[in-house]
Amino acid sequence: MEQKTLMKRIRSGDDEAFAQLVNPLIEKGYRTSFSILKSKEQAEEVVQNALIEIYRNIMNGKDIKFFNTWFYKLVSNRSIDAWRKNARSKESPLDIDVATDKYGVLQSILQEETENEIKKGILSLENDDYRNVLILYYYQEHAIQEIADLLELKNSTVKSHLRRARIVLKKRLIENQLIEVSSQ
Amino acid sequence: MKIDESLKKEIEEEMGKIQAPSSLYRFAANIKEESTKRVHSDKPKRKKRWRKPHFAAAALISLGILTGSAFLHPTMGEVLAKLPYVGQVFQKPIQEVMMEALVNEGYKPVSIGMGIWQGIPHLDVEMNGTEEYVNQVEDNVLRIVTKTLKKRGYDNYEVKVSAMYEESAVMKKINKEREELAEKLMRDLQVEGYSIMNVNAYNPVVKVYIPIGDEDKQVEIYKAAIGILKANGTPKQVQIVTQDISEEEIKSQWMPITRSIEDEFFLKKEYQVADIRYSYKAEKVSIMVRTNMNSLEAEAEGTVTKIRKEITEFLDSEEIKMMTENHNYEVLILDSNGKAFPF
Repeated sequence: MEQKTLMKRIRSGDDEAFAQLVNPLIEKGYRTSFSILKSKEQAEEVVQNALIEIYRNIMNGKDIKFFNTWFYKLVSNRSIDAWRKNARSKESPLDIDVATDKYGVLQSILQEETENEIKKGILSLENDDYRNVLILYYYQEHAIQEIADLLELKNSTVKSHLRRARIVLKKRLIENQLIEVSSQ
Repeated sequence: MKIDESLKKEIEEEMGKIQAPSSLYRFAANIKEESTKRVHSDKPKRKKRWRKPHFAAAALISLGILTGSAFLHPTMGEVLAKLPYVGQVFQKPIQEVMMEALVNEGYKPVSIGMGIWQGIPHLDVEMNGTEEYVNQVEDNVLRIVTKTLKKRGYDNYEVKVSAMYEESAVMKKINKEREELAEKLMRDLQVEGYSIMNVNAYNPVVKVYIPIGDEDKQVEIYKAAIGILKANGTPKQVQIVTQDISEEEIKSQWMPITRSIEDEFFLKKEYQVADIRYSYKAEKVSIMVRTNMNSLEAEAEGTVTKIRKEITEFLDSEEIKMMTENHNYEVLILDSNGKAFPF
């Protein structure tokens, strides 16, 4: 059923219509939240609170044009808020804009991280900012500026993270090819 | 770009391994009830007014908040005002004190809700008026509320001020009809000779609460309820829910007491309390206080001893013993992992 019709039904008191509207979106919303927060309990809490916020906005007559986009943005925003509270003052050296740092200690840390990325998946990356950039860009399809605003990073940092991810993947593909070649 | 597509695909495959819990779908199906239970979430445009941005209540603590309306009700306040002072520790419920302070300064607070989000109590002061009005008075209201909290020595909280959520005229009418339907159904079932504890008709599925002792009458009551609703011209689905009366009664009896305990231990950083849970059995009531500490921390033993002493002294006072009819209790203090401390 069309989303506009469902929202109208919700406003007239039909709770079933709310479930019909949001059920198709819950899975992706939860996955985003869980990947950012790395905690089932916190992700569930965030999505629940987002659902309540959405319900109240609909009941207050808010005009929502692109419901799905709005839903996912809300969940991303709330997940990042929660993640920020968790992070406290912990600062990873990799938060520094990679494009401007070329030498020194950072190199060895980057090297180690790159190797880890090749072996494990993207969602198990230790660097929260880097991981969140990838989730928000590739999974939630946020624009670079949106991600920069949300994570309070510079645009250039967001682009660096994306650039790095592409380099890592290329490296992995090459390695896999080498492995295939050597096993023949 | 091919690499981008590959990255997107890889992330999607990894995400595919994560499954959303079914409880979220149940939550969505029950959204109205859930919404009325929860403290309001922050609205994005208010972000800049918060001490820390984006408040969202995780769980309501059992402060009499769960009785009908989500916030401190005047009648409950009257009951709570009779709570005794025990030494310097347990006093009038803080929400009542804050309400009084605001009223004394000429404000009209509707309610003050409290919820816990990530171990920090969040207080939501709902004011009667438009958003514009709330914008004007917010700073002053925050000043009054913070002063009241400081006076008690409370230092573990976040506060926000919001305009009362106004139901639309349509929703008010619908909710009134649902309330009347619930009352009618409860009355008619009782006339037919059934013991009914409560009826909730807010959702498409009407819930009828019966004592656990009448479990064998579930089908009979279900059929009677369906019949009454049909005859009334309001056919709906029905669900019969059994409740343990004795547990509900004990819970209700202890509510002002658990409220006092929560005020004191959640709102002071020194106790490092993350969560407080209860179990209400006829044999005893268990109070489980989970802290943020582990047993190896230097101050753990001292803090745990202090928490246990203060709760025990409170519960052993004559006034509280009278309220609980000298009900047996136990106090368990747990570490951050939920294990009991060895001291």
